[in-house]
Amino acid sequence: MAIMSAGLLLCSCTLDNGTSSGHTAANMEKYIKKMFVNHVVYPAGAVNMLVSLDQYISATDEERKSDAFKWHRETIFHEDDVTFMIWGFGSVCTYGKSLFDSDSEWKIDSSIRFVRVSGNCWKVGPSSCNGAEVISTVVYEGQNEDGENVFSVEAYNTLERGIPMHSDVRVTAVLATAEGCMTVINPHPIFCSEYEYFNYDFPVGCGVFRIETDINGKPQDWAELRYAESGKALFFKSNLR
Amino acid sequence: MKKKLIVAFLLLPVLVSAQDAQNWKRQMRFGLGGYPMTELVAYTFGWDAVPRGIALEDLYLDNKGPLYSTGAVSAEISWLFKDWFTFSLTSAANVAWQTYFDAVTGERRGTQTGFLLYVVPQCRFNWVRRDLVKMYSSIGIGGLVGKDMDDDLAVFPVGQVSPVGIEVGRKVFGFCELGFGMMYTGVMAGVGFRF
Repeated sequence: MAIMSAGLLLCSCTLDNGTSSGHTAANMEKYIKKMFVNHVVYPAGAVNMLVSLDQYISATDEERKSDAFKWHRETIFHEDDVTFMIWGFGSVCTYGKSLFDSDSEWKIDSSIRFVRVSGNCWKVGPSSCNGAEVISTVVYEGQNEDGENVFSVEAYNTLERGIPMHSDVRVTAVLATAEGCMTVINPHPIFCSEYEYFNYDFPVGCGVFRIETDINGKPQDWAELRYAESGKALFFKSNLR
Repeated sequence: MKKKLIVAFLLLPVLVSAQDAQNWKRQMRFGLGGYPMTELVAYTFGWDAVPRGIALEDLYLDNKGPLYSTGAVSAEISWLFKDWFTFSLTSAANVAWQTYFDAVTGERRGTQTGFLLYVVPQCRFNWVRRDLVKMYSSIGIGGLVGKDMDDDLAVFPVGQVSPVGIEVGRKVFGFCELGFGMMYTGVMAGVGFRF
């Protein structure tokens, strides 16, 4: 056996050099940023779409021509008197009512699921997240002094599962906003490609988003994204770094 | 080391072969070498031109050591129908293996192996037919069957072309050929005997 093995090694050629471990801080940072966008930014951005549409519809013709509504003019298209197509989002039928009228029931045809809880509070589920049902609660808090829409987001303990190939392990990750809700300001729900999350233009805000993973039920790693005091930067922290 | 073995294979039959084997009708050859193209294409080529995002399982995917392969180890029997034409039935085996490691602890978790068996009938055209030296070109179509590195059954057609090969010796000879195809690409060398 030893001679055969030696013979094989003598005659063998190397086809490739293999792969390095994916268990790195850089990969964890990419993953948590992707989850943060999916669980916090997109849900808030989706509700922001509805609020922005309502503001646009409620504005006068003169106000609509201003710079404040430049994005709206480029993104919102009339289908008929009460129905609007929002580019990249879907179609919204207002039935002629404001979003915040007590008896309003907007019909939304979008890949994002919405359930209006009350007035300015929405439960939002992106269309998919590795098959897990993702629900965040988004509350519209009004506008800040710069006229930007402000949202508070609570992402619940959402379980994501993974099965690494060539392995008998099962990994799970629990994702949630930590230390209460997160606040995001004017989140733009522009959907980006899978590999662009790392360089995503994150909205201004405050709060903490946290992930905890386990392997076969045993706690493994944790990671956090925490806004800086200025709200303009997200800091990554993990047991891997 | 491989080059020295190839040269030794070529010279040894000239030294030991003393009989005139002009009346031989059959021969057997045993060879080794070439780059295993099936494994190279199946296991190493990837479409990474477009970067992809990260999924949860990617963080904990076993990482792999270098991928090794023996190259084609072949045995062949040939029949000489005409001075210029030989029909060969080549069988070859190729073993590939790769060790994988736990992404978190770095511990060795196991070794994946793949085994492929080729059967390739070939037509060989002999265009130099001296007593001691023969040169030829060959072409063949056959198939392979085996188990790939993911433990899946592999069955594929195989094409193989050798634009130039040389056999040196009489009853016992050494050979060396250039070839390209799914069985091997590069240089194969070995020894054979005629009967």
